[in-house]
Amino acid sequence: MKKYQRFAAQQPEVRLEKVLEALTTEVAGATEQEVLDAAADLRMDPRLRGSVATLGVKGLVFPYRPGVFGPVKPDTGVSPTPEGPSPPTDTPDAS
Amino acid sequence: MAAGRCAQSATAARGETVRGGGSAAHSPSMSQTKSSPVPGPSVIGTPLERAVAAELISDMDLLRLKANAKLLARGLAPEVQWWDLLQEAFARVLSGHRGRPPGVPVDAFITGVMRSIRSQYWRQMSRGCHESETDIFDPSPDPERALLAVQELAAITRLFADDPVVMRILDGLADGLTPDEICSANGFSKTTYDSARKRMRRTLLREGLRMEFRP
Repeated sequence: MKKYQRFAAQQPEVRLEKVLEALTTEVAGATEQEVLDAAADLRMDPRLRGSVATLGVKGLVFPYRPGVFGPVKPDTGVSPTPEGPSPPTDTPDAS
Repeated sequence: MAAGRCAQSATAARGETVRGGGSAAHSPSMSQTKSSPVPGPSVIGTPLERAVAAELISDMDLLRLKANAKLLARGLAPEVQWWDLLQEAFARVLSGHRGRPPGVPVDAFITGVMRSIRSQYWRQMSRGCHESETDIFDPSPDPERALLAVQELAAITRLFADDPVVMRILDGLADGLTPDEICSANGFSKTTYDSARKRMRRTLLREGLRMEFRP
């Protein structure tokens, strides 16, 4: 079993999962000041109404596309036709 | 109101403010117990807009979640965008499929849901199907996914190319080591480790908030 665990831990997919888990946990635990500092590095101020930092999550919210991650369950509680604004012509990078 | 209180207490712990109390009626599963789904047709707006409108989540939470969505969308199919991940997570939470465990902050909980969606999608990518499968890791080697994982790990590592301490920490995390093991293996003090984590968070948040446009 230990041998298998060691083997599994060397697999790139497992390594990526572990790194992503650790990093997203770090980001989720960031303080408000850390968020503001990071935004300030980019000359953004998320406290301002309509700040570009909030693009995609507030104000201009990109549409929900049900089914991207699989079939939509009947009780997801969301209309199949997204009613939010369309994304900009130049779409932000997924990375 | 219970959901609103939960959101408030989660952010209040970090000294942040949430406007209003929110309404559990709008999103049952932001509360900490599993509840019945909301009927769909009467709901207006995207799942994210509904959560924001109900004031269940603070602006700072949204920014942290945006950064995490961008991080987790790495390596997925080109047609999958970071906001797809975020919207899907909110859709599943608002539908009542996911109940927030007691004591877990809202952003950490949504992040966990996004990780789960990503993980499931990742496993299905090479199979070319979207059927629900077991959560057990499939040990069979998949060269396409392995290569993608190597590329994504390299891309993440490049963010910290000028920080050797963070690079070693990342290597340790990828190996599944605990913080104590990483410190002892590399001779880091707790202060060194914590400072590196702080730099790591700032870089990740910066990358998450950065506005990038495709050429």
